[in-house]
Amino acid sequence: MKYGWILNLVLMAAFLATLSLGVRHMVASAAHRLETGEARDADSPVIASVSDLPHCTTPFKTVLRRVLTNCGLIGGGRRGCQPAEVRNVAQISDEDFNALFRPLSKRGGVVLFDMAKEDLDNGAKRFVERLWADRRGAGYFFVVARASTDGSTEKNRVLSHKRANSVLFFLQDRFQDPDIEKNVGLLWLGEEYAQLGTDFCQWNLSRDQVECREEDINRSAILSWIDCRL
Amino acid sequence: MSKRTTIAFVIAAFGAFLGLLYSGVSTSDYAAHLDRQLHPVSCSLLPGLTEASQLDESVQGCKVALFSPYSAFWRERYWGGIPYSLPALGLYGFALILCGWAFVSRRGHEIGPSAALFMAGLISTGASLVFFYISLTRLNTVCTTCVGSYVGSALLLTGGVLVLQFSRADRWVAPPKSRTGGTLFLWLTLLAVEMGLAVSLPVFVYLETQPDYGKLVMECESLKVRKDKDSVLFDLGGGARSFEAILVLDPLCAACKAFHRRLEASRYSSELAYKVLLLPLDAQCNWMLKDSMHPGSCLLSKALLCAGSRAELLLEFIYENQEQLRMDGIGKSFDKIRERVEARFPEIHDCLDLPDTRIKLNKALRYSVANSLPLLTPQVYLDGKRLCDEDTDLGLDFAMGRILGQ
Repeated sequence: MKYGWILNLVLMAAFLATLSLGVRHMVASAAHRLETGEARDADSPVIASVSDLPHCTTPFKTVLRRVLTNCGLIGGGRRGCQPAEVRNVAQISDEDFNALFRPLSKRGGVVLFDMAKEDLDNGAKRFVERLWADRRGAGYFFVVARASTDGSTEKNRVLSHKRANSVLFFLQDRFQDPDIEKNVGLLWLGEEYAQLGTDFCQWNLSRDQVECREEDINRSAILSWIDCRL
Repeated sequence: MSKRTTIAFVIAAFGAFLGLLYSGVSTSDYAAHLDRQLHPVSCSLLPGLTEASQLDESVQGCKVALFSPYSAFWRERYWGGIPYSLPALGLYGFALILCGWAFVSRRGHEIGPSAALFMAGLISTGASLVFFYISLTRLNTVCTTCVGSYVGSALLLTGGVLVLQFSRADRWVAPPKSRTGGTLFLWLTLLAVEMGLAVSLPVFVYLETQPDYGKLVMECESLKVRKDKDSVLFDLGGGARSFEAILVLDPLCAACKAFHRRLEASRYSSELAYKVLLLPLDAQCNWMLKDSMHPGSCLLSKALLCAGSRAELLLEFIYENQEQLRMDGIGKSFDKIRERVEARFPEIHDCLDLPDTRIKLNKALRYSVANSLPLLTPQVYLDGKRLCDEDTDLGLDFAMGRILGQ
């Protein structure tokens, strides 16, 4: 009788000890992996961020920063830059300035205006809406307005300013979005700086332009989101 | 002990062995997850002979069971809780040792061991029936390893009943050496204590060995900008509840659906006011991706933003049809997705193409940027504090309790 009890106790004790050690081992192994980070995925997840596309080269960003700082989008102050200022601020030639925009040919578009007019036609309004809505990860929306060489320089400077404002006012009126103040950069170049060549006729235009001469493409405002992180 | 009683013990021992094996495998799988990572799960009647897997379709039943709220208890008190397979492991082990002792001592026919074996069979079978019922009615799947354990318990009970039956005759032939009531009482007490120890000791050891998760679950980041100035978050009801839960979802992400369901099943659900932030993992609108993980989710996200007060219903509709919608997306049949959604929610038709909707979705994505959110779904922020990814399944109730200060 006694041996039966003892045997039972011995077997049970051995089992409980084995079970405890086994359970301890399972949990302790997991605890060890947790402590050492052994099991953790080495790849940390990508963090949500704004865009920084390949065309955002250092020279591009340098000019962009200068323009944004001096034309009021970074650091506050007065909005917009006029031709003489852009020339001084950008510190690059007309051709180099236009070259900065070439990578944006698929991203941006050109709003065309009638001669000596600054009004957006219905097609232009839809065009501006569409471009504005296609923000993606961009931080700034540039409106670079120009005028053709018809008329006086002074008049064209004012006209291009009005064209840039037409776009801005339309956006403000249409979307009532406080972000517009912070995101839209206006540059009006009149006829004085960085006139466009007819190669810009290949961009998305707000009108189905049968003929696209140099004076047509310069009665315009180039619009584009800028996908660069500064 | 007669030959037939011995055979009954063999049946019981085999059942106990099966139970021990399968509950051991389940416990081992469960304990492996205590490092807060995902691991392969064994889901076979031949554990060890077939490879454990994490993604294989055949392990889905076991994964569903493992990650379900029914796999463990005390989940609010301890990270992951205590898997039910752990006390089962002790119970089956106790029964197996008892059988072993009966073979060696030839005294299995005595009332004490016969009754104890029967009780072990009864308890394990009762538990198996409850879990089998839960599998069929709640989980809608059956876990192969669990089935092994159910079979083990049934055999254990069968053996136990037969031992009880046959041992009566044996006791007439070979009566116990001591027949006093005191001795019987001692026997029964000893076996009850042993059974209690076998069930509770592994639980105690399990808890004692667990690391301190209290700090770990609070380690994830908080939202930098909680204010929703552009109204990009939409409500899923419960506005007056105590805590805000911002769910970061992709409408076509299966894990989001599963996580959302788990969250709703958690004990804290009734205290949460849910809001949804859309983070579609679709390059069509999400510039942060080179390739779309869930093509079509931008379209569905816009639909959700357009649905207004019916957004919750639409989200439920998307969940219900998620597989079909995902297949449409993979096949680039976005028109089909649109048709399906518009057939049920025609009011969103005009809104879907508005630039304003596109802008709103962009602003939702920018909310993620402003808060430097990880580019993954699902996520949940409880009163602004992120529930770590590692705590979104087994550790959900524990982590939620800690974050919400409960």
